[in-house]
Amino acid sequence: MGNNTNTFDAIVIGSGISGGWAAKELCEKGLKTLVLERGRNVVHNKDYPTTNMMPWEFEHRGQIPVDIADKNPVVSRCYAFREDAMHFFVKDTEHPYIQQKPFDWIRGYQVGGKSLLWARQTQRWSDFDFEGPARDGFAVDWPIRYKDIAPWYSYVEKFAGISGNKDGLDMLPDGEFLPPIELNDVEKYFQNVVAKNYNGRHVIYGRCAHLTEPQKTHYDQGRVQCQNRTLCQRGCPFGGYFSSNSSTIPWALKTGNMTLRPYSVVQEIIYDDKKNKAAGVRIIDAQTKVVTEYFANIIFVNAAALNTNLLLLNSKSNRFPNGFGNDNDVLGKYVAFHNYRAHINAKCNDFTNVTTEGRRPTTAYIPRFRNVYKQETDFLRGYAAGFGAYRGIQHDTSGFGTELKDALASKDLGSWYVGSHMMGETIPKESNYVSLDANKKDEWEMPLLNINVEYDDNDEKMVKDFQEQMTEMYTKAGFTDIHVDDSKHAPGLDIHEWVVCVWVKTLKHLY
Amino acid sequence: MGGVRMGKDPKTSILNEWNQMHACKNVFVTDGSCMTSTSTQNPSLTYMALTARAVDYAVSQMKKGEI
Ligand SMILES: Cc1cc2nc3c(=O)[nH]c(=O)nc-3n(C[C@H](O)[C@H](O)[C@H](O)COP(=O)(O)OP(=O)(O)OC[C@H]3O[C@@H](n4cnc5c(N)ncnc54)[C@H](O)[C@@H]3O)c2cc1C
Ligand code: SF4
Repeated sequence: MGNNTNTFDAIVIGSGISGGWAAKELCEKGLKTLVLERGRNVVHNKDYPTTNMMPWEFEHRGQIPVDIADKNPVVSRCYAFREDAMHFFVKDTEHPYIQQKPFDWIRGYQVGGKSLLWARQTQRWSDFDFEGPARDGFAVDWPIRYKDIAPWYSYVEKFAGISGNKDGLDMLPDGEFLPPIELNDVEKYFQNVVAKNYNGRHVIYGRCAHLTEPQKTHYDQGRVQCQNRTLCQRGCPFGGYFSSNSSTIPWALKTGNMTLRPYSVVQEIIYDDKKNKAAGVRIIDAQTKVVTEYFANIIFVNAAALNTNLLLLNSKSNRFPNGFGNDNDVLGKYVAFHNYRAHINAKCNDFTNVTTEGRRPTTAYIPRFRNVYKQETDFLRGYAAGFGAYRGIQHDTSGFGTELKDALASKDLGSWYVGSHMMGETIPKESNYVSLDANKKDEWEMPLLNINVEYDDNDEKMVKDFQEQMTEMYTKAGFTDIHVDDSKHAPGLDIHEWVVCVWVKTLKHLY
Repeated sequence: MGGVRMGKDPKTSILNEWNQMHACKNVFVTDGSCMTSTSTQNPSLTYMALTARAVDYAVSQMKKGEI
């Protein structure tokens, strides 16, 4: 056993969204907790170097320089990997992995993990989700149901601050909402068209982790109202959105019970054969490469999905020769993801007398409507969708010289455009798995992760169905110039990229 | 998501209903690797709720001397 300075009541591995919560809860309950984070520390406000920069202050005007993009094709495919936030992303070159099948692994290695970068969209699950595997005969049955988690949703929502509207929908339970973020006129119009034409299809206000009306608990965290800057991925000086850095980590620190150790790459969990439980963890310091062991009674693993698989697979002992907890050879298997491949954009020729003012950090959301109450298609499960409408200044860039300059200076509004993208459920399968590479290791003595994950026929059918159903809905709304798209991008990029500016960028390419 | 999935049966899953390892009672996994299936919703709110729930359970078990 270790000496006193290396022994704690609890250890949390990783400080992202889930690790931050584990730290807060353990510390509040009085446990001396060591949080081990492989990346550097990012202190709220202090370490947000770009947060107040103006567009013209960026050397590359926000774009990623070509040499960086060329060297890092995977992370460059993420919409949020831009000059203002690139310091919060793992570059492909820094942390290699092996794509046995194409997989875009987007990572953030720092205190706060990906909580700095996420798009902050937050919806509860319903029993249609928890009962899914049992009802439709795939994977294994969830050991919990909605009633088991509902009070905990309420608990975390109140602290994190979630904005939304109580819509009373079976498939998307309501939460403890702060006021919703408004829809614009075209989104409301589409909401009405869908409500009139379909039973069980809904266009609702996006639910997201933004403080639209902060409560005492948020002020106590030092967070104030979201200012709708939509520069969130830089780190928000207002704490307007939930991140570990603005919320759970400083909260845990304030208890006096947390020890945060950045630059601590956990290599393995150590098993104690005598006590028949985990004794602690072995780490390697990311900078000095010094190896140290830490011990605790309770261990929370929160390294994010694939790194947790890697860590457990790498934690071998007499008791667990095939990886920690892996008595059944299930570890690393049944990996699933979200299918974000399909998009649909169109033009709305109406509403030319109105526009919007300012920005907002979310758009509308269409909860799953396929196969909810019963199986009705030739594929299993279904998809939700983001939906947004946008009207911007339209420049004609076809001319030259003065003509072009005048056109670029014009403030004329163009048409409204609408866009939507699918968020499909995929089916966990044994053949979608990750494993340790037998030969290659990284600088920190960790085996490289082999990723073996791909789409299947169910996903292909779902993409097609999304395109057909949304085309029908757009047509009923009278939208024109409908353009459906299947990006066919690799799994992994399903990172919930549906803030309005994203597809506006897409639209600019299309129109 | 997944790879360290939750389930009722230790023969076919790694974690129980409390995100606790079937085979090692003092280890809890509450990030996306615990997900038995993915649903269509964005996942992080569910990770937060599962985490708070698992900590509550872990600490109560520790106090009872079970861990
Ligand atoms: C651009 C983008 C948009 C997203 N949008 C949404 C959204 O709208 N809604 C939503 O619900 N989700 C969204 N996500 C996903 C969301 O960010 C993740 O689900 C969430 O951050 C997962 O939390 P986590 O705690 O499991 O992992 P993370 O937040 O990734 O944290 C894991 C931490 O563990 C550390 N770590 C890893 N390995 C080790 C090790 N061996 N030792 C020590 N530390 C280690 C990492 O450095 C990291 O800090 C988005 C993600 C991205 C990238
Ligand atoms: S939109 Fe809100 S949360 Fe995001 S940067 Fe702005 S103020 Fe902060």
